[in-house]
Amino acid sequence: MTTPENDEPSPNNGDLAMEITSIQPRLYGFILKRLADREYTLEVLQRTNLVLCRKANEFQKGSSFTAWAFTIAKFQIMAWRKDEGRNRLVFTEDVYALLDRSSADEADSVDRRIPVLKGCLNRLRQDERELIQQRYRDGLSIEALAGNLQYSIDAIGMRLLRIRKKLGTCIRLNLNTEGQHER
Amino acid sequence: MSADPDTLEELEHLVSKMLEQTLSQKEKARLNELLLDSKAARALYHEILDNHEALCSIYPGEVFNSALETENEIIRPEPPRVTAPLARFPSLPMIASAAAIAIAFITAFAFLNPKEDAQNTASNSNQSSDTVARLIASVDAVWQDAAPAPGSSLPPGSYSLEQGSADLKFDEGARITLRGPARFNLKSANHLHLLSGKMVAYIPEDALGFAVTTPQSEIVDLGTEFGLDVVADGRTDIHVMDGLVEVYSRNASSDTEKILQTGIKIEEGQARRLESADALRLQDIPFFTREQILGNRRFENLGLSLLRGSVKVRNDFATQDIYETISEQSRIEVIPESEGVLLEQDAVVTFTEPGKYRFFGPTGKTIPAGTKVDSFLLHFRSDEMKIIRGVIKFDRPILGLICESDQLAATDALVGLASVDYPSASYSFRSLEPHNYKQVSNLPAYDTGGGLSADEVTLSQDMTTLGLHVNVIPNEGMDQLRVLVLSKD
Repeated sequence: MTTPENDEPSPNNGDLAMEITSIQPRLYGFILKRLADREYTLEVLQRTNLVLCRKANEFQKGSSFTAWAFTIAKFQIMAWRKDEGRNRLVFTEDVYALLDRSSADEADSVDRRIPVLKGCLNRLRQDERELIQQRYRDGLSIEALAGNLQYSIDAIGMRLLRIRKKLGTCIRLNLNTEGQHER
Repeated sequence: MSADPDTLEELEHLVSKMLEQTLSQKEKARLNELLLDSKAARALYHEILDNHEALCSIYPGEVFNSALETENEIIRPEPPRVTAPLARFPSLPMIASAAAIAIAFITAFAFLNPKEDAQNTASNSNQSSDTVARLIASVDAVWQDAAPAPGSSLPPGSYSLEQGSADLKFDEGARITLRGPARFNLKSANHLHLLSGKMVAYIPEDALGFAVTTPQSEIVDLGTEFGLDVVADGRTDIHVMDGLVEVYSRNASSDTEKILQTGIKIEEGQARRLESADALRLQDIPFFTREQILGNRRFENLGLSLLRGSVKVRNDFATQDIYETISEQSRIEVIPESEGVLLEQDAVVTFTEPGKYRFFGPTGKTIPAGTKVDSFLLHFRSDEMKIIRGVIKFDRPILGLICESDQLAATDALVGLASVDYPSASYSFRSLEPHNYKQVSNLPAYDTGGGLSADEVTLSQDMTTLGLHVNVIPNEGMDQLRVLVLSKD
């Protein structure tokens, strides 16, 4: 009754839906690095999600879902750059190629950062943490933050830059010490 | 190839602007230049963006909010532009209305709950063509008529929230939390009419011009956050938590109304009452905070960041609810239990790692003594033969799932609600089934949805998201699962 081509939910679609949902932030990050623009990233993320759903039955159970999803995302990015996005590219072809990394290395780099970052977030000053939470957890735009806090957009941008730097330093330090422990 | 500190400093600035979507054309060109010339710049770019991805994984608001914002645009390719009733403060153009992302995302969720979607469509026949807001979450919500599921779109019309609270996000951006009993009318994507009840509105800058009307007044938000307490045909209390609010009256028969016709401004930390017993009166009243208006047990305080499917949060859970099934109760109930419980000894749990689980039984897993946990009981009952599906995302990592009767019983006293008499350890049907492969072979295929089928639990890789397919014998069976998450304390 159910052919592989049609869109009938198969028994595994519930799990797939969940996998797709939980991987959204990672896919978003993966695409953003390559397109350097939030709107275009959401556009390509949507296409990637569609393909992930459509190709669900091609996913090999037991293999890495992240790796599979990243591969599909990479193809979608390349297609977008050649076609609809052609006139909207931030990165030139040269830079795009130079920035490319192996998906596995990239996934691993982010995987290692998540637990370290959690610790670093706890070390932020209260007001810094609140700003990061409003920006990332609540998904408020910099315009909305500026409105709420009655600062200019530039001032909020500078505060976020400083906090990102602080987190970046903290992550770098802790990733290094972690590496030393392993040795 | 040089790692000139000035270059790297400049790159950091540009990347930060890129992340905030404020990069100019000139700056884009400069970013290209730096990345092309310097290997160190590329390494730093990767580092910043990897950190950003990690941050988005921990706090996925940017990703999911964008998805929610644009969902409706996909359902209706040309959203009807509703003209605001108050043309004095036209909405600012939506900032960066992100390109539609969510088709596949919704499709994915539709798989989760096809039956419920069908029901929603049936009860709101014009839903897909004309919705104005989305129900983000509800806690203990009892609705008078149709009970919208979390995540569903709401068409214009009248709603009556008899108890509990509901979080709405309007298509134009305003976020409203209502506390029942409340009667309200969704007029358009930027107009809410509150007939009675309590609410707090949060208006982001790009939704400026959002209007709330009550029987006594028209309130125009000039930025950010205010609360209302409305008694039908009696009074409207207005509390401004943040920013500035303007209040108007439509009639001008009394002096007060004449003043109000041109509008009064209420500033942050101030509160005013409008009474309409005979003529309209205006008076200062003590200011209430968001918590004082809405109470403490709201969705945002519960540690949950996303609910999808047949999931309902309940704060009013009582002993009898364990044993009784009310009609239309085919759902997963999330019951927040104790918070900040310090484990004095290792807690025996069923699962502590990511994965998909279909078999339940002792696993020897524990959460170590000394850990501080918050507990949630998930309770499933059903009044019809169907699989109940849902996704629950917590804002802190899940440390362990307790799926076994004896483990549930062993933790009831420690993390359960003092007001509830939990079943004794001998009540073995409380746990998830099946416990072994033999039990499975006696069951019909798990996707038939009609029979007693295997329960299924999925824990996401990052340990924050729980996916559930559960099935209980209608009106008789009862399954429970306890989730222990890292305490926020």
